[in-house]
Amino acid sequence: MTATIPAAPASAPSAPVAAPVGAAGSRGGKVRYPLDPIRAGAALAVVMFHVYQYQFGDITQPAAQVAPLRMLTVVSSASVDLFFVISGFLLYLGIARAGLEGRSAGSASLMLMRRVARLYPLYAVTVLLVWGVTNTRLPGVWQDLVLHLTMTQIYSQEFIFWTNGPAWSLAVEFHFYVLVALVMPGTAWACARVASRRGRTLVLLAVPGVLAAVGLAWLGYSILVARTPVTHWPTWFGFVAKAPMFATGMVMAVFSARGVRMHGAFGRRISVVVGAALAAVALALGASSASDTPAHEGWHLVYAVASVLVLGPLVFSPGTAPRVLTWRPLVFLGAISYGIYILHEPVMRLAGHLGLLVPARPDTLTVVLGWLLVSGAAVFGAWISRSVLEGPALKLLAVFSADGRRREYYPHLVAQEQPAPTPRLVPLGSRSARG
Amino acid sequence: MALLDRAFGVPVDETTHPGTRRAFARKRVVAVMAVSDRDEHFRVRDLRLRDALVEAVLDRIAGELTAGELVSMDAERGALVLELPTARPSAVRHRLNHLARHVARDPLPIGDGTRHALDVGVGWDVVVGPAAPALDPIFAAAHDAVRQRDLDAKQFRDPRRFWSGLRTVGSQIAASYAIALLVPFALLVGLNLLGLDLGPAAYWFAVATLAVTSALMWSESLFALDPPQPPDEPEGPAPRASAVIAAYLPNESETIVETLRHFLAQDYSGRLQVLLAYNTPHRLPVEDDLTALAATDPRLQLLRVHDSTSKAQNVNAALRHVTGEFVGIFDADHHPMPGAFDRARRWLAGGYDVVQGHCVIRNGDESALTRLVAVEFEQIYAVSHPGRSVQHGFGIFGGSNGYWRTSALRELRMRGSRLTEDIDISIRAVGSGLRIASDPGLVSLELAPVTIRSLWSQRLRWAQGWFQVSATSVSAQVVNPLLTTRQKLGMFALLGWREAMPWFATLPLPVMAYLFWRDGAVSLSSPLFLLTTLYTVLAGPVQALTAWRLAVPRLRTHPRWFAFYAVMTILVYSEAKNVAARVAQLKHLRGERQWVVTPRADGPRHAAPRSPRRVKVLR
Repeated sequence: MTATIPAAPASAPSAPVAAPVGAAGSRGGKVRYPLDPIRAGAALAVVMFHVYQYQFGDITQPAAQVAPLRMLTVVSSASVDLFFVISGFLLYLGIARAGLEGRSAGSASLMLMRRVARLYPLYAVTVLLVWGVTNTRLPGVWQDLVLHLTMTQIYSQEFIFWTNGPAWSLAVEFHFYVLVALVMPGTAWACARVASRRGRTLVLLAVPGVLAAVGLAWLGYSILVARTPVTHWPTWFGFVAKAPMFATGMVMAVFSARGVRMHGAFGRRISVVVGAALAAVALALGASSASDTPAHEGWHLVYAVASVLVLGPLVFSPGTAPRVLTWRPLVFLGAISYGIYILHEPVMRLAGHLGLLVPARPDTLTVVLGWLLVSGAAVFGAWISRSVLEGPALKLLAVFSADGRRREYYPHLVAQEQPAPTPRLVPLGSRSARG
Repeated sequence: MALLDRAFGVPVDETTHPGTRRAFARKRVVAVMAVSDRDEHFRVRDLRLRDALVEAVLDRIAGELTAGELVSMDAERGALVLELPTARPSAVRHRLNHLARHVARDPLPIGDGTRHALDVGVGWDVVVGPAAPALDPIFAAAHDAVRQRDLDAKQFRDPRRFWSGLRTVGSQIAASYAIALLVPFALLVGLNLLGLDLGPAAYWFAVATLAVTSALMWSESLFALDPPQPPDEPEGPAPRASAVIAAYLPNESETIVETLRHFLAQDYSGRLQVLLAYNTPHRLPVEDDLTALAATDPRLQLLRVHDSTSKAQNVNAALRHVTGEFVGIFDADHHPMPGAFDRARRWLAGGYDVVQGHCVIRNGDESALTRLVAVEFEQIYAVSHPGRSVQHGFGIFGGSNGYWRTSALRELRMRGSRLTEDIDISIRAVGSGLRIASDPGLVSLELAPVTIRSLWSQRLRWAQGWFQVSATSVSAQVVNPLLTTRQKLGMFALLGWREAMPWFATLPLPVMAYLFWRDGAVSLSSPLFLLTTLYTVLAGPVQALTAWRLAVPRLRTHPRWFAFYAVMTILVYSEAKNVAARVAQLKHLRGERQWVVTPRADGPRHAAPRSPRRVKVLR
């Protein structure tokens, strides 16, 4: 998850990734946000929830309803929402900056390719491996494979959580990337035709505005009118249901691009305190409210607001990140947080298959121990993946030039190259050991 | 060794380290350091001068001796005889190489005040007992080493021939398949009959080895997509540069003049010296043309290396005449692109010691075979070399279209005793901390082999040369403290894994056969089996696709060539190269083409001639 956001981008579009180093601030003209460590924390929270879920099977049973464990449900949900807010912010920031200056943020297809090269290889390899292991005879459940490889499992009530359950959020993310790629040219076009900065701001806010409106309308209809059951997964885990979270991040991006800053330490502290208080309230109420009613889904909007208050001090005050976010182990975990997230469920299932994760009487301690085991294995797998799969796969982007066109590797030869007449040949028995 | 003292008449005390205690009955190393009887222009030196030079060498070497080492002079044969304590062969060789380099580093002063650049060579062997060792073979080894000019000590070895029944290539191919297919099958069946079923373990082992190899290929392709770019143009005037073109003239007489004209037309910013270092068994008409060409352009120098039988010898001989700060090494059919030397200079000024360019086939449209080789060269030079240079943290010198800092090449020298002297010098360079870059943008055009026989012969020699280097280097390089962890892993992949894989590539077949024997049927409907098979099989075509994307413009316009290559790779070519690698290893183990000094029954003993093809065809 390595990328930087140019302060005055000439060509590089935004990417929903944060800085690999913790220090928020400016380096070489590029503003860097230490958001990866936050994502790492969120990913590990999701891991703990899934271990809890895996060990208890039915988390509504009394033994699973003890206070610390019940809160995992809320923390996990809020963590995933946080991912979406961060993605909305980072992906839209470059577009917002360029738009405010009345120019294009670059090639939409290249932006999309960047996302694909960064995220899809590990996603696809994991899906293929898990599907290959769990389907022992061809053709297997091929529909599941096709849906996952095309990131369309979120439309399936049956297969959405198959093969790699947490991967649903990646499918949602990709829907968002495609949407942004589609609106990028229009946004740039409109911003270029609006003279005032205020007008451009409105243009830029229109996209998250529409997105939020559609998402809220969908949630409102599902909760209040259709009263869709909470077990109808495509309704609650689809892209439209999560659109308000992305929109929240996009609005933050527009204001950040406009130069909104929290200059005083007091303001930042207030933001964190309010965010923490809101999170505590959400935690307490969310964990105690009935989770099997559609109204419970409304809590995600509260999590989105809490995300703004938590992220605000970081994104509106670049250069003032808490030192904890620059702590090297946390920075390392941040750099591999995507791998941790994608790999943790297959790792957990493997550990369970080996009998390492199924205690006779699960409780808080077994969940913590299981979490340590799964997290450790997932961190190791993510580190390996980062080195041998994700890093090399990013090289795919090198086939494009900065403007998104096909890269010419031999510009110095293009002018020189002319078909040469075939020379008279002399058989050459041997030459050098080319390797 | 008393005989030595008497025979050579040099007081031992003058040339022996003070701490030496001689025990005549012990096992020891005896080495001969011979001095070339010709000067750098291949004029024969008179005997008085030769003796004076040997004495000067003796003086220079005496100060370098350590405890237990002794040197004497054989005035009759114009050489020094050294006695060293026994040690590991690699340590002995290292020590003797150090002494040879010490002698050859600077011109030697002699009594009349003149200074002389000198080629020396060292032969050695382990001797047991008090009797004077049979020195003749060691002298022969030393004189061969002089001709190589690689400052690499040669150990005398009795000719070895293992598996005398495997003389023909056909029998060697059959043997390689027997080892690769029948041995694993028989082993699995035998163990099963003894109650041990290793089928599943063998299956997963085969899958794992193929998966790792494929992963390396995929990763190599991906890294190649973003090759390192040359550093910025250095400031200041361009230094002198040299191009050394090595040629076996009978093979190259039709193209060499055109090649030289191409080099003389190079537009290098500094002064460019073009040096043709060639050997020929007899005078050829084209030499008149070459002389005439040299007369018209002072930048061109001709050097006939009279005692050469290899490219390495030609290059080593040329090094004495190189005036450039950096030197490009080329085969006789190469046409480097305009501006090649300026681009190479950027790398060398940017902290690299060597930069390997991109060799592009210029006769690809000649036949299906040349098309195949043309695409393969793109895969090698546009994908594998740059990809590996990132993956492993070091590049490889490919023998031609490579540019060296002259001082580094002078220090390392090319070893004619290696079938692939380019790989050998690459590994030694990287192992000693030098940096080799790979630049696919540094293009030179060359010709491909036009017959299957010559292609097979070429690949067999490459494979055997790689194995020769691997066998002698892998264990030292993977623990070389000068290398980073990435580089050590790269060395293991390049010299260890790469050599083992041709034997593992066919492993799925005996394993499947065993499973069939065991169960009466084999299920091929496992999705995981299908996926891993696809992953493995597609690695080659993916490299072909990458090669097309990264190919030079003149080849990129032929996508069908790349599709043809991809299909051929899956069907034939990949396995053909595996067969060549396996056969090459068998040949090496049999001692074929191994450096051998064969003592003769009468007259002075000489280095045994190598196989005719080796002598005839200059790499």
